[in-house]
Amino acid sequence: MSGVTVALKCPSCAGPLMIREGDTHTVCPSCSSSLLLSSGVRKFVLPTAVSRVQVLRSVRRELESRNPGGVARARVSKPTLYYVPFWHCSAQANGYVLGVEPVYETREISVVEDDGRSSGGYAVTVTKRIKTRTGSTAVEREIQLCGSVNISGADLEPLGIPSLSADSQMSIQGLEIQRNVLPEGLEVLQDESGREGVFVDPVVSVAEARSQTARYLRRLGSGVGFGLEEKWEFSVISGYRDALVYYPLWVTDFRSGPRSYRVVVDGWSGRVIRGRFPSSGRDRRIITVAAALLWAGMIPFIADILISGKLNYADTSGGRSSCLPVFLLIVAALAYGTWHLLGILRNMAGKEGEHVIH
Amino acid sequence: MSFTDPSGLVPLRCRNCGNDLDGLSTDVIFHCGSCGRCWVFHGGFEQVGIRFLRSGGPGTVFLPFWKVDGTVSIYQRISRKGSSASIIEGFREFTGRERGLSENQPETRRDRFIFPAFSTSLVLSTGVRMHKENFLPEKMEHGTQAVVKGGSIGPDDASAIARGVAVGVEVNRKDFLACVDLDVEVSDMSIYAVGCTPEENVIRINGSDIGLPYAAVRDSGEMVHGERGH
Repeated sequence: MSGVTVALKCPSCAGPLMIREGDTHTVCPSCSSSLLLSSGVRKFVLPTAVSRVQVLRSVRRELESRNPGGVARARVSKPTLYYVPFWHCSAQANGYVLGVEPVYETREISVVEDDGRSSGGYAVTVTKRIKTRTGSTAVEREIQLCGSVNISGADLEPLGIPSLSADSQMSIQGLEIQRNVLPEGLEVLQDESGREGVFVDPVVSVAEARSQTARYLRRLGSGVGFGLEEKWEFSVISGYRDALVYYPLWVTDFRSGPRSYRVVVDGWSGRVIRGRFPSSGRDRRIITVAAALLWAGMIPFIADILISGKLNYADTSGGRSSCLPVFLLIVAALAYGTWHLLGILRNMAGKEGEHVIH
Repeated sequence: MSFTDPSGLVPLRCRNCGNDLDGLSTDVIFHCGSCGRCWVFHGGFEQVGIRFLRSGGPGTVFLPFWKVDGTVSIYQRISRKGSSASIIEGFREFTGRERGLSENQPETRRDRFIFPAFSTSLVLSTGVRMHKENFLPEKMEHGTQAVVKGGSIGPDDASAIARGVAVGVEVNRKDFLACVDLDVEVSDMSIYAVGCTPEENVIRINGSDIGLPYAAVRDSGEMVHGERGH
């Protein structure tokens, strides 16, 4: 977040101050007062770049693309703007990784692969490279790294948004904030009440966020000991800098028929990032028609095989036999499979047939 | 002095003489150029002792270092041989007997650690190298107006780093360390303003071969030349 600059007012002369995120001290360019940012936690907000009307448009557009017939029936309720918290923690890791590094010796040896019996009297000799462990060397390596990580301050799972944590492997699809990336355009948050939207209180404490940051940096630092055996690690995490970053999310509900649906729209890009939409049933109809056409094509062949007696054959004893039971069994299995598939598609017409954006 | 606006901005003045305190944008340690007191911002302002060392010649800049005195208790220290080698040719199974581990006696000693109070990636290795040298405070001439900038490491971090330096001292002994379990009980903390000379690529501690590359010191440009964003 070093590139983020925030605007504040000098408490002495009310002149404008520009402070980089992470700074604790500045000098007012107007009155030359030396000033210190004393508040424990700095708060930043990414103001929403989309209006309520734009959110409604995004939802309707998405609905139209998923279920063109359902737009007229859908009753979209008033979207609510939520500012969800993320901790942005930076720190430095210093330490040591001790261990032993295996020492290997590589030799080339000749091996007779074939004694000549199976290849026309020729013996085949190949040269193989053999790596033998001959010992180990004691190694002491130093950890020197600094980094920052974003950690979810609130549980967003009910909205279908995975949490960012020190252990997260996946990115949050659709959001400008990621584990190591902060969005551009952050502003300092001085007064929550003066802004539109609900500011969600963080449930993850700053101590927990720092603990996760330490775990993340320790994991990165342990990479210094790659290839070592009998490893022992020690690291000091220092220079913590925390900031609370509020990210805008619009949440709206709409009803379509008897069911209600929830949609989450990114407050910065205006894209629909999570949500459920009623299915138009188009895919289901295509599969049903395909199955019907398949059977329509197969029935004349089945009838022809049954009537023409092609299933009869002469057995080894000179008598006549028929594989009609086997054939009927195969046809019955295919019919059962088709019926079962149609049953699945019928169920999809209900709840499971929704389009889910995740 | 107690005025705080909603953004948390407070006037930064010496609690003793009221002089404006100067520092870098991320500093938490402030030296008053007027009365010579040193303050650490740690939730509130706390006074901390400051001594000047190795003032050297012209071009010297004073950089802040933490001086931490404490008792080091080593509960367990296991070292190993530098290397192990097999006398048997070819493949063999390593049983662990060749690890050559030996446990040292637990010990307790009083020790002093001096390490950068400014942000550098070489904080531990610099602390270990400074541990080998003798840093004695000097008496500053009366009226000397020394500027000490760049102290961004607070007392909590300094305690943790002191433990790291103590581990580093054990790592840098002649034997090869396998693991160590130690603790540092801090008895005194103060600031050493150590005279350093900016060279072409490094900031050299006066009277020492210890040099910190500019690239390893976060605010080196501001600390040495007063430039921002070096």
